[in-house]
Amino acid sequence: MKKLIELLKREKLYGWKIIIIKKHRANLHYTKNYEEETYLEGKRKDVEVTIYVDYGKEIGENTFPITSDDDEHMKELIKDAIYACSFTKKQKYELLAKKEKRKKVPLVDKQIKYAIEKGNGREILQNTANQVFKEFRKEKEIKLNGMELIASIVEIEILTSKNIHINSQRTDFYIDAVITSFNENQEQEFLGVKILSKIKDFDSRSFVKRYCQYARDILIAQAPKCFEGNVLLKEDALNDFFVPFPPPTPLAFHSNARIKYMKMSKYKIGDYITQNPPKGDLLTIVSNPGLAYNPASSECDFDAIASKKIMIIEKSKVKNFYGDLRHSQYIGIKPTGSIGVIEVSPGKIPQKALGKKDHCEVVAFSWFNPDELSGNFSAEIRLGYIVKGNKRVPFKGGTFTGNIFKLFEEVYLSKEIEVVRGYKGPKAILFKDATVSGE
Amino acid sequence: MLKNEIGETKAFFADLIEEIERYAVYADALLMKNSEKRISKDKNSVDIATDADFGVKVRLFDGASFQEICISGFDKEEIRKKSLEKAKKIKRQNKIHLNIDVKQIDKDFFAKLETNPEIVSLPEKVASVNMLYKEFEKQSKEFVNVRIVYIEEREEKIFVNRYKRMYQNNPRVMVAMMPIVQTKEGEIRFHYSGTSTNGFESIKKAMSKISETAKMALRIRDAKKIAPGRYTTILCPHVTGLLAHESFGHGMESDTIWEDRAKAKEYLGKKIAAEYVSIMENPILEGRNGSYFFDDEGQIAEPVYLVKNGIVTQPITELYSISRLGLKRTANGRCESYDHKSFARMSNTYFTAGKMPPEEMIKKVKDGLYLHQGGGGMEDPKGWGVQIQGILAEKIKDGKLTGELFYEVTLTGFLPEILGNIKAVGNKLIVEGTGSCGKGHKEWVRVSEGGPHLLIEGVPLS
Repeated sequence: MKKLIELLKREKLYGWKIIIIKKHRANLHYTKNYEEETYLEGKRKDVEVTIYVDYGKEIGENTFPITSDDDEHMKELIKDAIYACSFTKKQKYELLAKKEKRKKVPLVDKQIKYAIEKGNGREILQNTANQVFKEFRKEKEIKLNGMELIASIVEIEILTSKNIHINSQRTDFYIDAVITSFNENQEQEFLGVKILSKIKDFDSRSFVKRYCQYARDILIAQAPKCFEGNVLLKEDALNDFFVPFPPPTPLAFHSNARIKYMKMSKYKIGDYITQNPPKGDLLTIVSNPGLAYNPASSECDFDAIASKKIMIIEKSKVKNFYGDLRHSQYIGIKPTGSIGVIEVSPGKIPQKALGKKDHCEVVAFSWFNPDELSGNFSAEIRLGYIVKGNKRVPFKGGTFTGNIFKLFEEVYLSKEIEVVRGYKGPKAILFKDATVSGE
Repeated sequence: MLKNEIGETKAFFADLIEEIERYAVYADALLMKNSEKRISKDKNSVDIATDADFGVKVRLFDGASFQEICISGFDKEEIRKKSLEKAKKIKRQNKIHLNIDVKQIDKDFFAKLETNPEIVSLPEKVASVNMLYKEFEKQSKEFVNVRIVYIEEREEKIFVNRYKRMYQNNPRVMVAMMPIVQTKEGEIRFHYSGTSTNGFESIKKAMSKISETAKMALRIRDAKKIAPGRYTTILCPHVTGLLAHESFGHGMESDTIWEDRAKAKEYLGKKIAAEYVSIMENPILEGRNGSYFFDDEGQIAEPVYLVKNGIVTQPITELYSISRLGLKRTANGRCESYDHKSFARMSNTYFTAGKMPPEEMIKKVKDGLYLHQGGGGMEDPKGWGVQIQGILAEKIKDGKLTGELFYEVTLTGFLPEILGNIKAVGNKLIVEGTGSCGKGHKEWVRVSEGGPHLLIEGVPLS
């Protein structure tokens, strides 16, 4: 790395940054009958350089990878990058002048870190798998047809031309289980997934219990009839609603300085996010990158900007934009770094009371993938329940359709909260006048 | 990679495999060297970035399961040391016989291309991207923004086992174009079109699509939400491709079949559609986004029918599960990168062409919809449920397209029922998709979407 820095310093650049990402992962894959299929140990290192060239009122920038430490090769890459900068001239912005004070966010699970560093990745994953197997063996009319576990440690190092040098680490734990329920006539399955920072936070009992129940309910579920009225989201469906794949939610997408600069954001500070003034509970969202042991947290972004907690929506009105170094300056705000955990303020109504009247409850989508620009969505329901009085009848299929911004014109949030990957907020949300399309 | 570099790497791997197989039942090695150049342009700026993915995966099989060692770069000493350390700890078992192709092949494969993007200068590439952008501006001043992304990739792979010493070089140039519009009510919407070819000719192809893409983007401002229901529907090649890939293909992956996760198992050898319906998986379809010469487990690629004349015939396979199932192996063992496991994955999966011109199909529909484009879909191998989202649809009335558009439509339903309701297959095969496909929400690989038009009755749309 010293040689690369020397070579960069030789050039008359506006600035440069080097990002080194090292990722070690252990991956254990089981097939049916609890049989091990593959154990993989991966060790990767990616080095990426960005250079900035000054053109008076403009700057050019170019990013390239380093895959060899050969001097001549690196010289050639830098030369090419300087040339490429002449084609990317854009409005000048200031690079980060000095290291920002960062809030220390605990994101490293020592158990994962030491296991992987000592080459014991398999052991830690096998132990977790055995706990899960034990729980599955207690379940009746359930088969585990496959399971994958991944533990990884990621080290990120950022060095810049302004003598900023930052190191950060994080760990991740991933598990998915293919759970099959069966009776005399048929089989159904549910893919249970959990993503955490700490392996100790994984509760095998509740994981198995929740997803076996889902699989059993899907087995007896029927296709729904069309439904209009109160739709209650909870559990996996609620998590997917606020942290969809791919992220982010349209609610946060429009708060991004880059999107605002590209004239693709519909948000204006102080305006309601909805077209009409909202009724019911008002929506407040804070982006919090400082929540300990949450996979959506981070200490800083790749510009070395310390991640900041920021309220993006307050009482259903646009409060702030968040953004990276470049686009924040372009729209005239202080850079906040990347978006973090979506923290939604809870309501005042207990969860039980939210579901008192007849309603349609959705606990899992097949895929909740809203159009981030328009906010429109139409998501197939993997598992839901029609609740009438004391009766709760499972259904599968049909689609929950609408527009996210429109939905928040009347919403009720539960008092109780939960913290999961990328989300902290009400355990349940009730949308009024929502639509589920069915037979 | 230079010829001597390829030869030396093959020789190194061959020696290593021989050493490992003193301990392991089977071993293979895969080197991946991918590079990417990306030029993106919108109203405010041009950005250029390059990226790379370079590393080695060595797999050891002990007779029951695989162990894989994955390392960045190509440090021979480290690869040898780690692989042999692992090999020496292996306890041989005699549980599973791997279905390895024993034909000896020592060959280098190069994809054909019209214009090698590496000999086109950077100024010319940037000028081409700017030209595409300006062409949109010429079409209309009403776009909120237009985003053009040019992606130039080169995928090089070396695979070695005791029977194979192979190298492949697959270049790819993709162009994505996204005009953005705003409705009267302030809603932001976009339209998308893309091209993918092996060479720089992708730019020419993109240019020919601008007028149509721009016009459609302006039209979607007035698109409405659809009333949920069942419709007689004509699927354009892109949506047909999504149906073949997301809804059908994922259910035909041998690893999901082995794990009893796929409804397809019940249909193998049985009729699922009319005899004029066939679905093909074809990694060697030239110049397509999902094309390759051999898979990441060293199986030589060839086209296979998944459905032939309405009968479900052959799954898409990877080595482990097909060895356990005892079925014919296909070249579909693919991994996202050198540090990921291989799974059974599709490449170019499409309905084969039929006989009816699309214009004739439209004339046959009294009241229905034409699906112009889809956004993406999600698999459901166990239930064979269909979910294709982000569709742009147009009303057909009395055999004519009416111009009335519907935005963000979702196609759902039970796949065997939808396949059973195919009434006609179009006569033009168009496989142009630029997609990438995940297994669940991870393990991304490059694929294409496309096919002929399909006329289907009773399609559930919402």
